[in-house]
Amino acid sequence: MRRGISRSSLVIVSLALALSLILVYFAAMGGLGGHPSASIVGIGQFIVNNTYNVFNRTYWAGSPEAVTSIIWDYRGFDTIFETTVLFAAVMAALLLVPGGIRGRIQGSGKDEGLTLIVKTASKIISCIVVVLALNLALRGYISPGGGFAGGSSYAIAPLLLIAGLSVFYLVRLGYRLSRAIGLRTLGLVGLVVVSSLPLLYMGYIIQNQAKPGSMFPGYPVFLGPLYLGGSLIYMNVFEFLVVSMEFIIIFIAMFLLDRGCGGSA
Amino acid sequence: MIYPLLLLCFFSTAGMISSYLAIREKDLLRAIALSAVQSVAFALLYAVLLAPDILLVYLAVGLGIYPIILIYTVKKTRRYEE
Amino acid sequence: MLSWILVLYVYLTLFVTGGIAVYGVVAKRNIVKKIIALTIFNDAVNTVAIFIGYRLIPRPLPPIMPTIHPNRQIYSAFISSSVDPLPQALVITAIVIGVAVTCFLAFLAIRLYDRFGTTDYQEIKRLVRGGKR
Repeated sequence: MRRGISRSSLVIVSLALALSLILVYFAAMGGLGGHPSASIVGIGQFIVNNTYNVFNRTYWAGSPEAVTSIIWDYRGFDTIFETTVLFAAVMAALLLVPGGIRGRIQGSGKDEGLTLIVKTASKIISCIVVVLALNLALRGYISPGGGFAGGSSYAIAPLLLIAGLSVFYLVRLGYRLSRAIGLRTLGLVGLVVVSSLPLLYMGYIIQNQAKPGSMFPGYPVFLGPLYLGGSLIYMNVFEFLVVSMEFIIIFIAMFLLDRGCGGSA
Repeated sequence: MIYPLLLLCFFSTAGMISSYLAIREKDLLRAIALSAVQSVAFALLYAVLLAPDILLVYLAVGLGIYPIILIYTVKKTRRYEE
Repeated sequence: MLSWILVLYVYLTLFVTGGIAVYGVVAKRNIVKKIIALTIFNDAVNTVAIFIGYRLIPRPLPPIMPTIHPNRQIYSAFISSSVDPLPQALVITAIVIGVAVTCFLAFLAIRLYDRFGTTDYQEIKRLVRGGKR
Protein backbone atom coordinates (compact mmCIF):
# COMPACT_ATOMS: atom_id res chain seq x y z
CA MET A 1 0.00 0.00 0.00
CA ARG A 2 1.59 3.22 -1.10
CA ARG A 3 1.80 5.89 1.56
CA GLY A 4 1.46 9.54 0.80
CA ILE A 5 -0.36 11.30 -1.99
CA SER A 6 0.59 10.17 -5.47
CA ARG A 7 0.49 12.49 -8.43
CA SER A 8 -2.31 10.70 -10.24
CA SER A 9 -4.67 10.95 -7.26
CA LEU A 10 -3.92 14.69 -7.01
CA VAL A 11 -4.85 15.07 -10.67
CA ILE A 12 -8.08 13.13 -10.16
CA VAL A 13 -9.08 15.14 -7.08
CA SER A 14 -8.42 18.49 -8.75
CA LEU A 15 -10.37 17.41 -11.86
CA ALA A 16 -13.30 16.33 -9.69
CA LEU A 17 -13.24 19.61 -7.77
CA ALA A 18 -13.11 21.61 -11.01
CA LEU A 19 -16.06 19.62 -12.34
CA SER A 20 -18.06 20.31 -9.16
CA LEU A 21 -17.35 24.04 -9.44
CA ILE A 22 -18.43 24.07 -13.08
CA LEU A 23 -21.69 22.31 -12.12
CA VAL A 24 -22.32 24.84 -9.35
CA TYR A 25 -21.74 27.66 -11.85
CA PHE A 26 -24.32 26.14 -14.17
CA ALA A 27 -26.75 25.85 -11.26
CA ALA A 28 -26.11 29.49 -10.35
CA MET A 29 -26.90 30.65 -13.87
CA GLY A 30 -30.31 28.99 -13.74
CA GLY A 31 -29.56 25.52 -15.08
CA LEU A 32 -31.58 23.71 -12.42
CA GLY A 33 -34.56 26.00 -12.91
CA GLY A 34 -33.47 29.04 -10.95
CA HIS A 35 -32.32 28.75 -7.37
CA PRO A 36 -35.11 27.69 -5.06
CA SER A 37 -37.42 30.48 -6.10
CA ALA A 38 -40.50 32.02 -4.57
CA SER A 39 -42.86 30.11 -6.86
CA ILE A 40 -43.06 26.46 -7.83
CA VAL A 41 -43.49 24.89 -11.25
CA GLY A 42 -46.84 24.72 -12.99
CA ILE A 43 -47.56 21.06 -12.42
CA GLY A 44 -46.75 21.33 -8.72
CA GLN A 45 -49.00 24.35 -8.38
CA PHE A 46 -51.82 22.55 -10.20
CA ILE A 47 -51.57 19.57 -7.86
CA VAL A 48 -51.42 21.73 -4.73
CA ASN A 49 -54.47 23.69 -5.94
CA ASN A 50 -56.53 20.61 -6.72
CA THR A 51 -55.61 17.97 -4.21
CA TYR A 52 -58.26 18.96 -1.68
CA ASN A 53 -60.27 21.58 -3.53
CA VAL A 54 -63.69 21.28 -1.86
CA PHE A 55 -64.91 24.35 -3.74
CA ASN A 56 -64.39 22.98 -7.26
CA ARG A 57 -64.36 19.20 -7.37
CA THR A 58 -63.49 18.66 -11.00
CA TYR A 59 -59.94 17.40 -10.55
CA TRP A 60 -59.75 16.80 -6.84
CA ALA A 61 -58.21 13.73 -5.23
CA GLY A 62 -60.09 13.60 -1.94
CA SER A 63 -57.10 13.73 0.39
CA PRO A 64 -55.44 16.71 2.06
CA GLU A 65 -52.05 15.09 1.65
CA ALA A 66 -50.53 16.08 -1.65
CA VAL A 67 -47.73 13.51 -1.75
CA THR A 68 -50.00 10.48 -1.22
CA SER A 69 -52.45 11.73 -3.81
CA ILE A 70 -49.61 12.10 -6.30
CA ILE A 71 -48.31 8.60 -5.61
CA TRP A 72 -51.63 6.81 -5.91
CA ASP A 73 -53.88 9.04 -7.97
CA TYR A 74 -52.12 11.53 -10.24
CA ARG A 75 -49.12 9.34 -11.00
CA GLY A 76 -50.43 5.92 -10.12
CA PHE A 77 -48.68 4.10 -12.97
CA ASP A 78 -45.24 5.03 -11.58
CA THR A 79 -46.09 3.32 -8.32
CA ILE A 80 -47.46 0.22 -10.02
CA PHE A 81 -44.25 -0.20 -11.99
CA GLU A 82 -42.14 0.48 -8.94
CA THR A 83 -43.94 -2.31 -7.11
CA THR A 84 -43.09 -4.51 -10.09
CA VAL A 85 -39.39 -3.58 -9.80
CA LEU A 86 -39.40 -4.45 -6.10
CA PHE A 87 -41.08 -7.75 -6.87
CA ALA A 88 -38.54 -8.61 -9.59
CA ALA A 89 -35.56 -7.74 -7.37
CA VAL A 90 -36.78 -9.97 -4.55
CA MET A 91 -37.46 -12.79 -7.03
CA ALA A 92 -33.92 -12.48 -8.39
CA ALA A 93 -32.47 -12.52 -4.87
CA LEU A 94 -34.45 -15.68 -4.08
CA LEU A 95 -33.07 -17.37 -7.20
CA LEU A 96 -29.53 -16.88 -5.92
CA VAL A 97 -29.94 -19.12 -2.88
CA PRO A 98 -28.00 -22.33 -3.53
CA GLY A 99 -30.06 -25.48 -3.35
CA GLY A 100 -33.42 -23.82 -3.69
CA ILE A 101 -35.72 -22.29 -1.13
CA ARG A 102 -37.58 -25.40 -0.08
CA GLY A 103 -36.95 -26.84 3.28
CA ARG A 104 -37.58 -25.96 6.84
CA ILE A 105 -35.48 -23.96 9.25
CA GLN A 106 -34.48 -26.51 11.85
CA GLY A 107 -33.99 -25.25 15.31
CA SER A 108 -33.00 -26.51 18.71
CA GLY A 109 -35.68 -26.63 21.32
CA LYS A 110 -34.02 -24.61 24.04
CA ASP A 111 -34.29 -20.90 24.43
CA GLU A 112 -31.41 -19.12 22.76
CA GLY A 113 -30.49 -15.48 22.94
CA LEU A 114 -29.00 -13.02 25.35
CA THR A 115 -29.86 -12.16 28.93
CA LEU A 116 -33.38 -11.79 30.32
CA ILE A 117 -33.35 -7.99 30.25
CA VAL A 118 -32.42 -7.89 26.57
CA LYS A 119 -35.05 -10.46 25.67
CA THR A 120 -37.87 -8.68 27.48
CA ALA A 121 -36.87 -5.29 26.11
CA SER A 122 -36.74 -6.69 22.56
CA LYS A 123 -40.23 -8.11 22.85
CA ILE A 124 -41.73 -4.90 24.21
CA ILE A 125 -40.04 -2.62 21.70
CA SER A 126 -40.93 -4.80 18.73
CA CYS A 127 -44.61 -4.66 19.74
CA ILE A 128 -44.39 -0.86 19.87
CA VAL A 129 -42.77 -0.79 16.43
CA VAL A 130 -45.55 -2.95 14.96
CA VAL A 131 -48.24 -0.61 16.31
CA LEU A 132 -46.36 2.40 14.92
CA ALA A 133 -46.08 0.78 11.50
CA LEU A 134 -49.80 0.01 11.36
CA ASN A 135 -50.57 3.60 12.36
CA LEU A 136 -48.36 4.96 9.59
CA ALA A 137 -49.92 2.69 6.99
CA LEU A 138 -53.57 3.22 7.87
CA ARG A 139 -53.39 6.99 8.25
CA GLY A 140 -51.40 7.58 5.09
CA TYR A 141 -54.08 9.71 3.50
CA ILE A 142 -54.41 12.22 6.36
CA SER A 143 -50.94 12.51 7.84
CA PRO A 144 -47.46 11.76 6.54
CA GLY A 145 -46.79 8.08 6.09
CA GLY A 146 -48.39 5.70 3.69
CA GLY A 147 -47.68 2.21 2.49
CA PHE A 148 -43.91 2.53 2.03
CA ALA A 149 -43.18 4.13 5.38
CA GLY A 150 -45.41 1.61 7.17
CA GLY A 151 -43.91 -1.40 5.41
CA SER A 152 -40.33 -0.33 6.00
CA SER A 153 -41.00 0.42 9.66
CA TYR A 154 -42.75 -2.92 10.11
CA ALA A 155 -39.63 -4.74 8.91
CA ILE A 156 -37.65 -3.42 11.91
CA ALA A 157 -39.69 -5.52 14.36
CA PRO A 158 -38.52 -9.01 13.26
CA LEU A 159 -34.97 -7.66 13.11
CA LEU A 160 -35.14 -6.72 16.77
CA LEU A 161 -36.41 -10.18 17.59
CA ILE A 162 -33.60 -11.80 15.60
CA ALA A 163 -31.01 -9.68 17.36
CA GLY A 164 -32.34 -10.07 20.90
CA LEU A 165 -33.62 -13.59 20.67
CA SER A 166 -32.69 -15.92 17.84
CA VAL A 167 -34.23 -16.54 14.44
CA PHE A 168 -35.81 -19.74 15.73
CA TYR A 169 -38.03 -17.58 17.93
CA LEU A 170 -39.40 -16.06 14.74
CA VAL A 171 -40.08 -19.53 13.39
CA ARG A 172 -41.91 -20.41 16.57
CA LEU A 173 -43.98 -17.23 16.24
CA GLY A 174 -45.14 -18.42 12.85
CA TYR A 175 -43.00 -16.65 10.24
CA ARG A 176 -42.59 -18.96 7.28
CA LEU A 177 -41.43 -18.27 3.75
CA SER A 178 -44.60 -19.72 2.22
CA ARG A 179 -46.85 -17.55 4.40
CA ALA A 180 -44.88 -14.42 3.57
CA ILE A 181 -45.10 -15.14 -0.15
CA GLY A 182 -48.83 -15.80 0.19
CA LEU A 183 -49.50 -12.52 2.00
CA ARG A 184 -47.46 -10.63 -0.58
CA THR A 185 -49.52 -12.18 -3.38
CA LEU A 186 -52.67 -11.15 -1.52
CA GLY A 187 -51.41 -7.57 -1.41
CA LEU A 188 -50.60 -7.55 -5.12
CA VAL A 189 -54.00 -8.99 -6.03
CA GLY A 190 -55.66 -6.32 -3.90
CA LEU A 191 -53.75 -3.58 -5.73
CA VAL A 192 -54.86 -4.98 -9.09
CA VAL A 193 -58.50 -5.27 -7.98
CA VAL A 194 -58.68 -1.71 -6.61
CA SER A 195 -57.06 -0.32 -9.77
CA SER A 196 -59.29 -2.24 -12.20
CA LEU A 197 -62.66 -1.83 -10.49
CA PRO A 198 -63.48 1.42 -12.37
CA LEU A 199 -63.20 -0.51 -15.64
CA LEU A 200 -66.50 -2.23 -14.85
CA TYR A 201 -68.20 1.18 -15.00
CA MET A 202 -66.47 2.29 -18.21
CA GLY A 203 -64.05 4.42 -16.23
CA TYR A 204 -60.31 4.85 -16.34
CA ILE A 205 -57.83 2.51 -14.76
CA ILE A 206 -56.47 3.66 -11.36
CA GLN A 207 -59.27 6.17 -11.06
CA ASN A 208 -59.95 7.70 -7.66
CA GLN A 209 -62.70 10.27 -7.93
CA ALA A 210 -65.22 11.17 -10.62
CA LYS A 211 -63.59 12.60 -13.70
CA PRO A 212 -65.19 14.23 -16.75
CA GLY A 213 -65.52 11.58 -19.41
CA SER A 214 -66.06 8.48 -17.28
CA MET A 215 -69.16 7.06 -15.63
CA PHE A 216 -67.48 5.77 -12.49
CA PRO A 217 -68.81 7.78 -9.50
CA GLY A 218 -65.59 7.49 -7.52
CA TYR A 219 -64.63 5.78 -4.30
CA PRO A 220 -66.46 7.23 -1.25
CA VAL A 221 -64.70 10.06 0.52
CA PHE A 222 -67.09 10.73 3.39
CA LEU A 223 -69.12 7.79 4.68
CA GLY A 224 -71.39 9.34 7.27
CA PRO A 225 -69.14 10.62 10.05
CA LEU A 226 -66.18 8.58 8.80
CA TYR A 227 -63.57 10.10 6.55
CA LEU A 228 -62.20 7.58 4.06
CA GLY A 229 -59.92 9.02 1.46
CA GLY A 230 -61.32 7.61 -1.73
CA SER A 231 -59.25 4.70 -2.99
CA LEU A 232 -56.09 5.85 -1.18
CA ILE A 233 -56.79 3.96 2.04
CA TYR A 234 -57.14 0.62 0.29
CA MET A 235 -54.04 1.20 -1.81
CA ASN A 236 -52.03 2.09 1.29
CA VAL A 237 -53.08 -1.06 3.16
CA PHE A 238 -52.27 -3.37 0.25
CA GLU A 239 -48.94 -1.66 -0.40
CA PHE A 240 -48.11 -2.04 3.30
CA LEU A 241 -48.71 -5.80 2.98
CA VAL A 242 -46.54 -6.03 -0.12
CA VAL A 243 -43.56 -4.03 1.17
CA SER A 244 -43.45 -5.55 4.65
CA MET A 245 -43.69 -9.10 3.36
CA GLU A 246 -40.97 -8.46 0.79
CA PHE A 247 -38.55 -7.46 3.53
CA ILE A 248 -39.51 -10.52 5.59
CA ILE A 249 -38.80 -12.70 2.54
CA ILE A 250 -35.36 -11.15 2.18
CA PHE A 251 -34.49 -11.77 5.82
CA ILE A 252 -35.64 -15.39 5.75
CA ALA A 253 -33.78 -15.96 2.47
CA MET A 254 -30.62 -14.57 4.07
CA PHE A 255 -30.90 -17.20 6.74
CA LEU A 256 -31.42 -19.92 4.14
CA LEU A 257 -28.32 -18.59 2.37
CA ASP A 258 -26.45 -19.03 5.62
CA ARG A 259 -27.47 -22.64 5.94
CA GLY A 260 -26.81 -23.51 2.31
CA CYS A 261 -23.29 -22.17 2.23
CA GLY A 262 -21.99 -24.47 4.87
CA GLY A 263 -22.59 -22.59 8.09
CA SER A 264 -21.34 -19.27 9.32
CA ALA A 265 -17.93 -17.92 8.41
CA MET B 1 -35.45 32.82 5.51
CA ILE B 2 -31.77 32.77 6.51
CA TYR B 3 -32.02 30.35 9.40
CA PRO B 4 -33.32 27.34 7.44
CA LEU B 5 -30.53 27.91 4.92
CA LEU B 6 -27.94 28.01 7.69
CA LEU B 7 -29.24 24.73 9.06
CA LEU B 8 -29.10 23.25 5.56
CA CYS B 9 -25.47 24.32 5.18
CA PHE B 10 -24.50 22.76 8.48
CA PHE B 11 -26.18 19.41 7.86
CA SER B 12 -24.97 19.06 4.30
CA THR B 13 -21.40 19.77 5.41
CA ALA B 14 -21.74 17.10 8.12
CA GLY B 15 -23.01 14.68 5.48
CA MET B 16 -20.12 15.45 3.17
CA ILE B 17 -17.47 14.96 5.87
CA SER B 18 -18.94 11.71 7.18
CA SER B 19 -19.33 10.26 3.67
CA TYR B 20 -15.68 11.07 2.90
CA LEU B 21 -14.59 9.38 6.13
CA ALA B 22 -16.77 6.36 5.31
CA ILE B 23 -15.24 5.83 1.89
CA ARG B 24 -11.62 5.95 2.95
CA GLU B 25 -12.04 3.66 5.96
CA LYS B 26 -10.38 0.25 5.77
CA ASP B 27 -12.41 -1.48 8.47
CA LEU B 28 -15.74 -2.24 6.85
CA LEU B 29 -17.78 -2.29 10.07
CA ARG B 30 -16.60 1.22 10.88
CA ALA B 31 -17.44 2.28 7.32
CA ILE B 32 -21.00 1.02 7.81
CA ALA B 33 -21.28 2.95 11.09
CA LEU B 34 -20.06 6.13 9.38
CA SER B 35 -22.53 5.67 6.57
CA ALA B 36 -25.25 5.48 9.23
CA VAL B 37 -24.01 8.86 10.56
CA GLN B 38 -24.30 10.19 7.02
CA SER B 39 -27.87 8.86 6.89
CA VAL B 40 -28.72 10.78 10.07
CA ALA B 41 -27.31 14.01 8.59
CA PHE B 42 -29.34 13.57 5.42
CA ALA B 43 -32.49 12.72 7.37
CA LEU B 44 -32.15 16.00 9.29
CA LEU B 45 -31.71 17.69 5.92
CA TYR B 46 -35.04 16.27 4.79
CA ALA B 47 -36.67 17.55 7.97
CA VAL B 48 -35.49 21.12 7.32
CA LEU B 49 -36.65 20.88 3.68
CA LEU B 50 -40.22 20.14 4.89
CA ALA B 51 -40.58 16.63 3.45
CA PRO B 52 -42.15 14.49 6.23
CA ASP B 53 -43.14 11.57 4.00
CA ILE B 54 -39.61 11.04 2.76
CA LEU B 55 -38.22 11.43 6.28
CA LEU B 56 -40.27 8.49 7.57
CA VAL B 57 -39.29 6.21 4.69
CA TYR B 58 -35.64 7.21 4.85
CA LEU B 59 -35.30 6.71 8.61
CA ALA B 60 -36.59 3.16 8.38
CA VAL B 61 -34.55 2.33 5.30
CA GLY B 62 -31.27 4.14 5.89
CA LEU B 63 -30.93 3.39 9.60
CA GLY B 64 -32.59 -0.02 9.80
CA ILE B 65 -32.45 -1.97 6.55
CA TYR B 66 -29.15 -0.90 4.98
CA PRO B 67 -26.87 -1.44 8.00
CA ILE B 68 -28.44 -4.84 8.76
CA ILE B 69 -28.01 -6.15 5.22
CA LEU B 70 -24.49 -4.74 4.90
CA ILE B 71 -23.36 -6.07 8.30
CA TYR B 72 -24.63 -9.49 7.31
CA THR B 73 -22.70 -9.27 4.03
CA VAL B 74 -19.53 -8.30 5.90
CA LYS B 75 -20.03 -11.22 8.28
CA LYS B 76 -20.20 -13.62 5.34
CA THR B 77 -17.16 -12.16 3.59
CA ARG B 78 -14.08 -10.42 4.92
CA ARG B 79 -14.09 -7.67 7.48
CA TYR B 80 -10.98 -5.76 6.44
CA GLU B 81 -10.46 -4.40 2.97
CA GLU B 82 -7.54 -5.93 1.01
CA MET C 1 -27.50 38.20 -1.49
CA LEU C 2 -26.48 36.11 1.49
CA SER C 3 -29.25 33.60 0.75
CA TRP C 4 -27.91 33.28 -2.81
CA ILE C 5 -24.44 32.36 -1.49
CA LEU C 6 -25.86 29.86 1.02
CA VAL C 7 -27.95 28.15 -1.65
CA LEU C 8 -24.89 27.78 -3.88
CA TYR C 9 -22.90 26.39 -0.95
CA VAL C 10 -25.53 23.71 -0.34
CA TYR C 11 -25.44 22.78 -4.03
CA LEU C 12 -21.64 22.60 -3.83
CA THR C 13 -21.62 20.23 -0.86
CA LEU C 14 -24.24 17.98 -2.44
CA PHE C 15 -22.34 17.76 -5.74
CA VAL C 16 -19.07 17.07 -3.92
CA THR C 17 -20.74 14.29 -1.91
CA GLY C 18 -21.95 12.77 -5.17
CA GLY C 19 -18.44 13.08 -6.58
CA ILE C 20 -16.92 11.35 -3.55
CA ALA C 21 -19.44 8.53 -3.93
CA VAL C 22 -18.65 8.09 -7.64
CA TYR C 23 -14.95 7.98 -6.76
CA GLY C 24 -15.77 5.26 -4.24
CA VAL C 25 -17.63 3.18 -6.81
CA VAL C 26 -14.92 3.48 -9.45
CA ALA C 27 -11.63 3.46 -7.58
CA LYS C 28 -12.15 1.12 -4.60
CA ARG C 29 -11.56 -2.58 -5.19
CA ASN C 30 -13.74 -4.12 -2.52
CA ILE C 31 -17.29 -5.00 -3.52
CA VAL C 32 -18.90 -4.09 -0.18
CA LYS C 33 -17.23 -0.67 -0.28
CA LYS C 34 -18.70 -0.17 -3.74
CA ILE C 35 -22.17 -0.98 -2.42
CA ILE C 36 -21.77 1.53 0.44
CA ALA C 37 -20.66 4.20 -2.04
CA LEU C 38 -23.65 3.46 -4.25
CA THR C 39 -26.05 4.11 -1.36
CA ILE C 40 -24.34 7.43 -0.63
CA PHE C 41 -24.70 8.42 -4.30
CA ASN C 42 -28.42 7.61 -4.21
CA ASP C 43 -28.91 9.84 -1.17
CA ALA C 44 -27.03 12.79 -2.63
CA VAL C 45 -28.97 12.77 -5.90
CA ASN C 46 -32.31 12.45 -4.12
CA THR C 47 -31.48 15.40 -1.90
CA VAL C 48 -30.64 17.57 -4.92
CA ALA C 49 -34.06 16.74 -6.39
CA ILE C 50 -35.90 17.73 -3.20
CA PHE C 51 -33.85 20.88 -2.77
CA ILE C 52 -34.91 22.08 -6.22
CA GLY C 53 -38.54 21.90 -5.12
CA TYR C 54 -38.06 23.99 -1.99
CA ARG C 55 -39.80 27.37 -1.84
CA LEU C 56 -37.64 30.24 -0.61
CA ILE C 57 -40.20 32.46 1.10
CA PRO C 58 -40.22 33.63 4.74
CA ARG C 59 -42.59 30.92 6.00
CA PRO C 60 -42.96 27.88 3.78
CA LEU C 61 -45.38 25.10 4.66
CA PRO C 62 -45.19 21.33 4.11
CA PRO C 63 -47.47 20.05 1.34
CA ILE C 64 -50.17 18.79 3.74
CA MET C 65 -53.35 20.67 4.38
CA PRO C 66 -53.81 20.88 8.16
CA THR C 67 -57.57 20.31 8.30
CA ILE C 68 -60.29 18.30 6.61
CA HIS C 69 -62.85 21.12 6.58
CA PRO C 70 -60.98 24.13 5.26
CA ASN C 71 -62.37 27.58 4.74
CA ARG C 72 -61.20 30.02 2.09
CA GLN C 73 -58.48 31.58 4.21
CA ILE C 74 -56.72 28.33 5.13
CA TYR C 75 -57.00 27.15 1.56
CA SER C 76 -55.45 30.28 0.02
CA ALA C 77 -52.66 30.33 2.62
CA PHE C 78 -51.93 26.71 1.76
CA ILE C 79 -51.77 27.14 -1.99
CA SER C 80 -49.57 30.22 -1.82
CA SER C 81 -46.87 28.95 0.53
CA SER C 82 -46.54 25.18 0.28
CA VAL C 83 -43.44 23.50 -1.13
CA ASP C 84 -43.53 21.42 -4.27
CA PRO C 85 -44.92 17.90 -3.65
CA LEU C 86 -43.96 16.42 -7.01
CA PRO C 87 -40.21 15.84 -6.39
CA GLN C 88 -41.05 14.29 -3.01
CA ALA C 89 -43.32 11.69 -4.57
CA LEU C 90 -40.72 10.76 -7.18
CA VAL C 91 -37.99 10.51 -4.54
CA ILE C 92 -40.04 8.06 -2.44
CA THR C 93 -40.21 5.81 -5.51
CA ALA C 94 -36.47 6.19 -6.07
CA ILE C 95 -35.62 5.30 -2.47
CA VAL C 96 -37.63 2.07 -2.57
CA ILE C 97 -36.10 1.04 -5.90
CA GLY C 98 -32.64 1.73 -4.43
CA VAL C 99 -33.38 -0.55 -1.49
CA ALA C 100 -34.43 -3.37 -3.81
CA VAL C 101 -31.30 -3.07 -5.98
CA THR C 102 -28.99 -2.88 -2.94
CA CYS C 103 -30.47 -6.03 -1.40
CA PHE C 104 -29.94 -7.88 -4.66
CA LEU C 105 -26.34 -6.63 -4.90
CA ALA C 106 -25.63 -7.80 -1.35
CA PHE C 107 -26.83 -11.30 -2.22
CA LEU C 108 -24.62 -11.24 -5.33
CA ALA C 109 -21.61 -10.22 -3.23
CA ILE C 110 -22.11 -13.16 -0.84
CA ARG C 111 -22.41 -15.60 -3.73
CA LEU C 112 -19.32 -14.19 -5.44
CA TYR C 113 -17.31 -14.69 -2.26
CA ASP C 114 -18.42 -18.31 -2.03
CA ARG C 115 -17.55 -18.98 -5.65
CA PHE C 116 -14.19 -17.21 -5.93
CA GLY C 117 -12.95 -16.87 -2.36
CA THR C 118 -12.22 -13.15 -2.55
CA THR C 119 -14.07 -9.84 -2.54
CA ASP C 120 -11.47 -8.06 -4.61
CA TYR C 121 -12.90 -7.04 -7.96
CA GLN C 122 -9.61 -7.23 -9.87
CA GLU C 123 -8.91 -10.72 -8.50
CA ILE C 124 -12.34 -11.90 -9.60
CA LYS C 125 -11.81 -10.51 -13.09
CA ARG C 126 -8.50 -12.33 -13.31
CA LEU C 127 -9.96 -15.61 -12.06
CA VAL C 128 -12.90 -15.43 -14.47
CA ARG C 129 -10.55 -15.09 -17.41
CA GLY C 130 -8.86 -18.33 -16.46
CA GLY C 131 -6.08 -17.40 -14.11
CA LYS C 132 -4.89 -19.61 -11.32
CA ARG C 133 -6.47 -19.28 -7.90
